[in-house]
Amino acid sequence: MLKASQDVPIYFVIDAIDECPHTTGIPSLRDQVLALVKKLVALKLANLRLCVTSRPEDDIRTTLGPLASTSNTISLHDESGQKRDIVDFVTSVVLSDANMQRWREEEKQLVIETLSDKSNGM
Amino acid sequence: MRSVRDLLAALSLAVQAKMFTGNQLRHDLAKWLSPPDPFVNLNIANDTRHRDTTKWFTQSSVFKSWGESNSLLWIHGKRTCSNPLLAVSFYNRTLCPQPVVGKRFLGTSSIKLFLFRKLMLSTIDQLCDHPGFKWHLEIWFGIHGVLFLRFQGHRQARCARTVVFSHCPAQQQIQRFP
Repeated sequence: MLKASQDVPIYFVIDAIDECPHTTGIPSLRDQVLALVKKLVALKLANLRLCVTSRPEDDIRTTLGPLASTSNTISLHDESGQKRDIVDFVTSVVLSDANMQRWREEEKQLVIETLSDKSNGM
Repeated sequence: MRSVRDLLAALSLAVQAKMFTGNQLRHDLAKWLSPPDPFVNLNIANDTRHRDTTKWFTQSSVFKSWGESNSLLWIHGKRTCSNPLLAVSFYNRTLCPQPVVGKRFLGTSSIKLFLFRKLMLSTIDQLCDHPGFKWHLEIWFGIHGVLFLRFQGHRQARCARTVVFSHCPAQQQIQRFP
């Protein structure tokens, strides 16, 4: 099917590959998914846009590291946009939650700053 | 409940006898495929997504250049990847004006949707709807009962592909023939 549609782009996003079980089976389910990613990259289909998100666990890093160029590898942990998203979200919750309306302004600010700082990109 | 074999028989007879075509055939095929609803998880994820989240990414040069090449994009982070926000962003941010074949979003909250068979059912179902594809249906009775779908692109005959989908539980697999 991928080859059948060579004149249109196909976006294939695999989210959270680290949640795929790695403990049972030889090869494990995760090994099989990683092998599929490797195979898709090797096909070099001009219309295929492949993206994988995951934790940087050893087996995943070993497989995906050589397949993705440095410019096409994003570390969310170091990403300022990701940190900004967290601050925006925490701020929005603290300012809109009915129970937190009773808090003093400096308490709200303390919660926002502490949660944002300690979130560590999560 | 009718068995797969009964449905195949009914469809086969209908096609052979040319009793109905177009919408009726499409309706019966959709009923037989019974694809999972791909929008349940998408809507849940969209509802939980804070406004403008991940905008930094979908508006970045990395995202733009990835959309113009066939290279692999790898995004890694501590626990951020356990939520589907980035995947939703990908989905919402349509890189081509009109999805030619279709879009499918399968969230992590429903592990059953990850079954390859269901994904294929869903994709086949959507392919049938696309006006860019004219399709005709042939049904062939093997030992296990097989649905034989042939898709042919309007513009390029070389795009013709045949997909054979076995509904035998022991052989739930897709085979493609050139």
